[in-house]
Amino acid sequence: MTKHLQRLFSIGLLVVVGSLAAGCAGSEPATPVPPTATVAVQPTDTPLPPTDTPVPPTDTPVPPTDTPVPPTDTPVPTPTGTPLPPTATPLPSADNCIACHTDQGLLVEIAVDKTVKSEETEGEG
Amino acid sequence: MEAWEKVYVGSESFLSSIHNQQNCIGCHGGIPETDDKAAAHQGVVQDPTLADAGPCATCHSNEAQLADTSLHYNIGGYKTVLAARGMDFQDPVAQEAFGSHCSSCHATCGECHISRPRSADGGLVAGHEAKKVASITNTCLACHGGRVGPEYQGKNQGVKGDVHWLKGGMPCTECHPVADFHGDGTEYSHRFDGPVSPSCTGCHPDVSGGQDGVVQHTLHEATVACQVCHSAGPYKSCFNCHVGKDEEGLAYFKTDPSQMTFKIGHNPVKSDDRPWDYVLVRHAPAARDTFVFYGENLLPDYDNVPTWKYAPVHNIRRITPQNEECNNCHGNAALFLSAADVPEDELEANKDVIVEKAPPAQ
Repeated sequence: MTKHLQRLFSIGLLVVVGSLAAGCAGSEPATPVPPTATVAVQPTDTPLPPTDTPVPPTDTPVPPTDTPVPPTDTPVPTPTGTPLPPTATPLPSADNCIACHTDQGLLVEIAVDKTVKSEETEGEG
Repeated sequence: MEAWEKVYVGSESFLSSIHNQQNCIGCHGGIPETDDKAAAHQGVVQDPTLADAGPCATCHSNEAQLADTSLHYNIGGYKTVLAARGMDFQDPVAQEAFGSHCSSCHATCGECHISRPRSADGGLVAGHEAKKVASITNTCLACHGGRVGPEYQGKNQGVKGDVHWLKGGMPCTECHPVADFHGDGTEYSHRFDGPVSPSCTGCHPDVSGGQDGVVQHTLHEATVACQVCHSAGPYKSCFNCHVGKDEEGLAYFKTDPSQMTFKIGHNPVKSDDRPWDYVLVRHAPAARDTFVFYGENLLPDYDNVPTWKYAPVHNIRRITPQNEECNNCHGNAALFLSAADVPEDELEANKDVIVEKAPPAQ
């Protein structure tokens, strides 16, 4: 029993001493490292001040000489003017005109030549 | 053409084309939704292109603007010649005469591209199809079928036709550029005003300056019109046209029978463009009293314009009777317009055209 107590006492003592030793080491303030001075690296060559009036670009942009070619797939309108404007009012139906003027048999029956020439005309015109 | 044929809209392609976009009534007027013939035709305009190109101008605005300078459209040549002969266009009598007999030759867009001309009794040419290129028979020769047509096609008895037609098959539009019909924006006083169009040297440039090695071209190029040497033979001249109105008020004309002539005259239209001394001439149908039905002396300055006029004859051949030998022309007085060929009443008008002495024989 006594031996057992002595062993416990020794272990406890070691723990206490160890703790104390560790605790003292952790709380010790670190010696501050002086910041390394950031030294701006000066350019070795001092830039030359501009001596002349800035030189304009030597090549003046050349304006395009040709009219831009329109896309080739754009349909080229054959009429020379403006396309038909949308009619303000819808056109009346011409079905009656079509029905008659496309009916050859009917026209043969009812068409009258209104070209009237004088019978007094003589000779070559 | 038969009456029905003149108004038959038989072209399916026309009906489905952009030219029918406005439909019949949109261009011609008329009344829809009636089957009564008389009612349907109320207000119908037979040729809607008569004034300012009508509906054509909507899309073909450039051509419509040029039309005012087209001699086919504005008949400026007639006006120029009649004015030079003293016609007073402010005179109502002269206006009636001109309106009754001259203005019918005014060609509209429709009269070339859709129908026959009114002066040839009209009528739809191809079922109302809008022909891009006019028909030589139904359009060009409908008006120019009296003199130029027979020359060109070889229908004058005993005279060969034009090589450009008989051998080349070339329609009128092959030589005559579109500006000859549509105008080019320049006001010409008559058809021989301005540059020669078409010009022979346009297609035969090697003739100029003797490049082709033909000595006659070098000798005559500046002084003799091409037709003088290259016309196949006689061509029509017309005489003594008189116009009037019959009892029903219908206009008529009467001309003497045409004559086949071949005459070389001094150039009545000499200019920088037409510098030749010698040209072929033909007699125009006009007479001093052409308009006497309407009033006396409507052409008081008749003698200002020759009645034998410059004629760019349309029966061209490479080899012709007159160019086979120099002396077929030189010294051959019969080929030249002499005073003996001209009635006394017309001597003054033609004094600058008459050749007093043929070039001497070589």
